[in-house]
This record gives sequence, structure tokens and C-alpha cells, in this order.
Amino acid sequence: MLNVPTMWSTGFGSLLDNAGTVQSRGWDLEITSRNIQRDNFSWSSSFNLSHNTNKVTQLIGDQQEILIPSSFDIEHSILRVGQPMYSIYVVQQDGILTQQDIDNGAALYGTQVAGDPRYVDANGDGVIDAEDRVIVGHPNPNYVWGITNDFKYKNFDLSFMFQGQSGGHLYSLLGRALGRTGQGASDNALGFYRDRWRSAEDPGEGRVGKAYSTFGRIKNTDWLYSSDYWRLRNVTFGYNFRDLRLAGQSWLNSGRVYLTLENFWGRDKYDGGLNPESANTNLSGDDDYLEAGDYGGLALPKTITFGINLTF
Amino acid sequence: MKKILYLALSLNLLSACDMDLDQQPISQASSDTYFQTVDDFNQGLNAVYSSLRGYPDRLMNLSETRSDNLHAISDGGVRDWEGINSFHRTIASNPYVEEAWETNFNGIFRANNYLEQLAEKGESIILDEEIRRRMEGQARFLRAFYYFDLIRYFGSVPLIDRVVDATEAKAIPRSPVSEVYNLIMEDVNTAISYLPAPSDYTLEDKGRANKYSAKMLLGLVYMTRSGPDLGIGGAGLNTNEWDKAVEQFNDIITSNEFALLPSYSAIFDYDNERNEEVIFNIEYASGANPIVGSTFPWVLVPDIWFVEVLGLPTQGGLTIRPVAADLLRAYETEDVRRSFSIQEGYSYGNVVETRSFVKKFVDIAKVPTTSRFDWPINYIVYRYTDLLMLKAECVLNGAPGSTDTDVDAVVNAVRERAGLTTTLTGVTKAQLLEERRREFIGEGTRWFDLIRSGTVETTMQAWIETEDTGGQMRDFQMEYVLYPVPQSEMNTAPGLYDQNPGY
Repeated sequence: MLNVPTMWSTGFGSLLDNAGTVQSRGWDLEITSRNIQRDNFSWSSSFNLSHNTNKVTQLIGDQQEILIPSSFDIEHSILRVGQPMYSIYVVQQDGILTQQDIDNGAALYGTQVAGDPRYVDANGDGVIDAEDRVIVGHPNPNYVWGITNDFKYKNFDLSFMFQGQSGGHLYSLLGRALGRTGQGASDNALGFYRDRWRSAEDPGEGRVGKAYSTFGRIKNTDWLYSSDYWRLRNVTFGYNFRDLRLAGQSWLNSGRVYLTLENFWGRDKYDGGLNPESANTNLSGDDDYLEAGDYGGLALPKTITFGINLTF
Repeated sequence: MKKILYLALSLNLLSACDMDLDQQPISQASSDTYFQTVDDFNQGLNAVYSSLRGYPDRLMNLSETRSDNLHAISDGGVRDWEGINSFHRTIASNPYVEEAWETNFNGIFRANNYLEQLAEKGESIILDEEIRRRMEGQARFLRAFYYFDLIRYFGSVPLIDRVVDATEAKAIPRSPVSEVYNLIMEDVNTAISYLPAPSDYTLEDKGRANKYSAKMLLGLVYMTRSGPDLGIGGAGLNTNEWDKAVEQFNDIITSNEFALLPSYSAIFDYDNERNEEVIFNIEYASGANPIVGSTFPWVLVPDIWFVEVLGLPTQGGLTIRPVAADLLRAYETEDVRRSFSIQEGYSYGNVVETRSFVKKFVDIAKVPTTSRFDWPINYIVYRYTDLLMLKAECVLNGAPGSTDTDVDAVVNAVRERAGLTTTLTGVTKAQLLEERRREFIGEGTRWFDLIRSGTVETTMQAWIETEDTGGQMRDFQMEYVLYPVPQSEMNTAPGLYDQNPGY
């Protein structure tokens, strides 16, 4: 069941219907190994990996695709037969337009000039428009994995857990606030805007076009980020003691002192926001079409926990 | 025995459902079940009216902001209105453009549904024929109103005069403007014959469409049709029906139901709603739940003025949409309309804003503190001054009338009310247009005035050249007269609609 867009000439923009069928496939793998088992020292590891894919196999009325409406500009999400659900469907940016590109007849969007983003004319009709959108990714990661290692040496123990995912993308709505095409100086901008195009002699790093552009905006890959990451989620180091005696008297049965660090190390590819996994907004902006996305989600907090457990 | 029972049960389950599933929902009313009493028909009619709620905001966003009254080009961000004023060709998914299409078609659906139910059940439920005719007249007026709004912004649109389902709608293309006009005129003429004068309504119904609202709409339709055909599929058809418009306007004048108010500010006074200027207004109530107040007073007002300068709650007008320097220059010093309508800059702390904005509809003492969507002021859609000046325009275009009494006298009366003492004689079309610009600033008439008078291209181009010193606008193109069909409509049924030229 899905809200399917209808012509507004009916009086309504959408209709709740059985929109189609989807095939989901996947597998999970988990390996636990006790690498070393001695009296004084042990090491065990656990590794898990899961792979999940889905694809749309059929849509209502034998349509080949349904575009998911957005309150912010044109649609950026599509259900297309044979493709993953809610594939990201936008125009591809390919560097920055130079005067030479324009003189050579590069396809333009509206009244673009040198210094504005260069877009890929996917359908080859000589202009950039909504017809040039292509599928550039899908929100679900292909692989999600985790590794845990536990060490014990005498009374010490150490464990750490890595976690990661790969193959998915996010379309970051935070760009609407901080990373707009041709954004000027009246708002905060993302850090990489400092390397924008400033002049033909100072073209920046080829990612962000000139400020104060006036050609308009079309949804494109500038808000697209890989959601790949790996992260050291948790490190715990502990010391255990037993039957502590003071002045010949047993007054502590057992105890443990430990230190835990969370989220202290990791890498992701999301430089347009803080957390590639955050889901704090509805990307479509339309209550009829719910789509999880990031609008300034906070980073995962780095946490240091120091603890003592005592058993009397 | 048990086995037989199970068998019987399972057979029963397997064979139970041999009728089509076609049930009325029990928990919610539907069109088919809702209309049972006269009051239901009243409620249903109010629902047709409710699509008017955003009409004034739309006028400000798509008409006022697009015209030479405001120089609301990019301030370095991407406010949704920036592409409207600086004529981006890429506004097919602009939220204001989408809203205009969507809300009007939603209103048309409501009117169609209402008219179908009224035709089917009206006679058996609403026994008073006069009441029934008033209901039909209002629904028809509103359907015409919504269609007229659509063709002024978009040109040709799909012509839907009944309830259609999703499959049917995907096969209904845009109809030529002339065919849409046929439905509009048929509806308005029915409304004129079915609706009473405002004085025949009881006090609580005074805000409803009346005979003269419909005549005003019809006059405006004739004038719009008479505007030049600009070759882009727009609302002007060069029909030369100025005389037919005057006929309608004369009926309104001789009804003696309306008059010019002696003071300009009194027209917009929060304590003077439904005054003698008002031929048709959109009525808003504040303090209701759910909220049904108005929002148009702050649409053109920067939020910071409310918050930092006046110390009032945020309203949502975001950044400033400056009044064009050219329009400020057009006011003579003693013109009271300038100071009433325009806030010329403001300052707080170290911040000094020198640009001006339209504050015409704001009464500082009436700013709602609970919700910015709940302003307690009606919007005057058709006012008597507008009618007199429109009639003057028809006369200058050759319709019967006297240039002395119908043109000069009207313009001078309007000017005198504004505090201007010099009397004009032999008022030209250009002078009339300029006077309208000063009088109706913020009321969203300017853009349509320019289109109807055929001066949109030369006026806008000359204005861009003098006003846009920062070079953020480009040359005016006739195609900008119409807005693009929303991209979402183009995508839902690819190939069904042709996009307007230039987009």
C-alpha cells in the first residue's frame, strides 16, 4: 500500500493503493571463533555480515515507474521496475561549467553561465531538465558488518567492536539549508563551499559553483553522499579482582574496574552532515510520502565511561 | 461430527464472498452518504469556499512579486519567491506555482462534487427553491472563480466539470482557453441569475458571493478576454468586449449597494470589515479550532520587523521583498497611500535596513500572538474603487461612457481621497494604469493590469533596465506572462500536457 500520485485535475494529489510488488533477498553470515584459549590468555572474535537487496518487480497499472513527489522541488526518489525501492533519481553534476564548455554548446539548465555547475545531459537533447535525471544510488546499504574481539589476560580484559556498512547512499536534505546551488553569503554554508568557483582563474576544487547564481536549481548529485562508514563503536578495558582481603578480613567478594570508549574512531564519506545514518526528517516533506532522511542530525556522541562494579 | 462441522465452516468461508467488494466506509462520511440535510449542504458549500483561503497569499506571491511593484530578486539565499520575480525559467516545481494549480483544482473538485450532489438530492432535501438556487449560484460562482484564476496564471488547463477518477484524469488534456472561458461564463451567468444582492442576505451570510460579486467577475472576465492575444496561449483573446464589461459594471453601480469610502485607510481597517467598498471578500475567523485565520498580512513583510523592531512574535515572512524604487518614486509627497501601504526601512541595534516593504494589511495592534496563521482580517477581492477604475479603462478602450464623468472624475476622486490636490483632465490609459499601481499596491492587481493593457513587455523591460542595477535579472520575454504547468503534473502522466513555451 502506497500513496500513488494522481493528476490534480481529480482534485487530489495522491491515492492510497496497492502500488505494486517488491522482491527482497538477503543473507546473513556469522562466524565466532575462539582463537586462543589458555589459562592466562584468551582471545575470541565474532564477525557478522549481512547482505540485503530489494527490487520492484511490478507496479500498479503496468507502469514502469512511479516518481515519489517531494515538497521541495522536483522528485528525487523513484520506484522503477527492476530497481531497488526508492532509488535516488537526480541529475548528475559533472564539475563546473567553463566558458569553453558553453562555447562548445554544452547543455545548460536555464540561464547558466560559466562558474555554474555542469550537469550531464543524460538524454542527449541539448538541454538540462528534469528528463535528465538518472538513478544514482539507493538508500539501503548492500552490506552491513560488525566485528567484535574479546581478549582476556590474567585479570585484565579488553574488547572492541567495529561496525560498518557499504553500498548505500543518502540524499541529504541538510543541503537545503547549508548547501544550495549558488548560495550566497547571507546564510551559513558547508565547509567545502570555501573551495567554490570564484573566477575562471580560481575555479576551486570543481565541486561547488559560483556564489549568487541566478539560474535556479534542479535536484542533482550535489546532495548525494555515500552512506559508507566504518566505526569503532566500543572499546572496553577492564580489570577484575576477587576476594579482596583487608586486615585479614574478607570484605569484598569480587570487583571490576573498567573504562569504555564509544565512537572515538571512524570514517565516513558524508561531509555534508554529521551522521550518515541519521533519520530525523521526512525527505519528501510531504506527509503522504514518508522517507527518512537527515536534516542536521547530530553526530554520535563520543562517550567515556569509567565504572566500578563491586559485589559484597 | 466435529469434522463435518469444520468442513461446513470451511466451505462456508470459501464460498462467502461472491459479491464485489463495494462498501461505503462506516467510520467516515463520503460524498455519497454525507448530504442528508439542508445543513449538510451548507457545510458542503462552505467546503467549496475554503479553497479560497490561500487566494490572497497567491496574489502576493505570483502576481505582486512577479510585477514591477517589487524588486524581490535573489538576496543570496534561495527563497521560493526569488525565481518568481527574477523570471527563472526553472520554476516548474516552485511551491507557489504548484499551489496555484493544486488548490484551484481542489476547489473545482469540491464545486463539481457539490453540484452533482445538489442535482441528485437537492430537490428532495432542500425544499425552499430560493435557497437551493442560492447554493447552486455560489458553487458555480466559485468554480468560475477558480477556473479564472487558473487561466490567468497558466493559460489552457484541463476542463473538468464533473467528478473524475484517477484513471479518467490521465486521459483529459488541457483545453484551449476559449473553451475554459465558455464554462466560466456559463457558470457566472447562472450565478448572476441565482444569487441575491448583498442586502438580501442575513447578517451571518453577508460574506457569501452575491449577484454583484458574480457581475464583477464577469466584467473582469470580459476585460481579460479583450486584452491582446500575446501569442503564448494566455488569457487575452483580443475579443473587444469592453462594452459588455461596462454593462456588468453599470449594474453594480446603479444597485447603490456600494460606495467609495472617504478615507483610504478605512477600507483596510480591521474594525471596518464588510464596508461599503466591498463587493466580494474572503472572510477569515480567528480563534477557531482548527485555525482558519488569514496569513496574507505578513506574506510581504520581513519577519525581523515583527520580531526585532516591534517585539512581536515571529510571523514567517522571512527576508525582505523590497518595494521597487521606481514605485516609491511614483508617489507624490503628499500621497497618503504611500505611508499607509509602505514601511520605508527600519533599524534595530546596529542593523539598518534602507529598503522598503509592503505593510498595507498589518495593524500592529492586531498581530496575533498565538498563531501566525490566525490573523483576524478579511481579504477584499473586489472593491468598489477597483470597479470604477476598471470601468474607466473600458471607456478609454472605446466602451460607451463619458471620459469626463467615468474617467477623469473617477481618477480625481481616487486621488483626492489620497490627499492629492492637483486635478487631472484628459486622463490617458497610461495615467490610469499608474494611478491603479499606486492605489492597489500589495493587492496583486498590477501584473494582470500590465498583461491586459498589452504593456507588460515594454514596461517590464524598461523597468528591469533601470531597477535591476545589480544585473540579476535578464531581458523580459513574453513567455513569462504565463507560469509553467507544475512538473509533478507533467511527470504523473507523461505526454498528456504540453508545457507552456519557455519552460
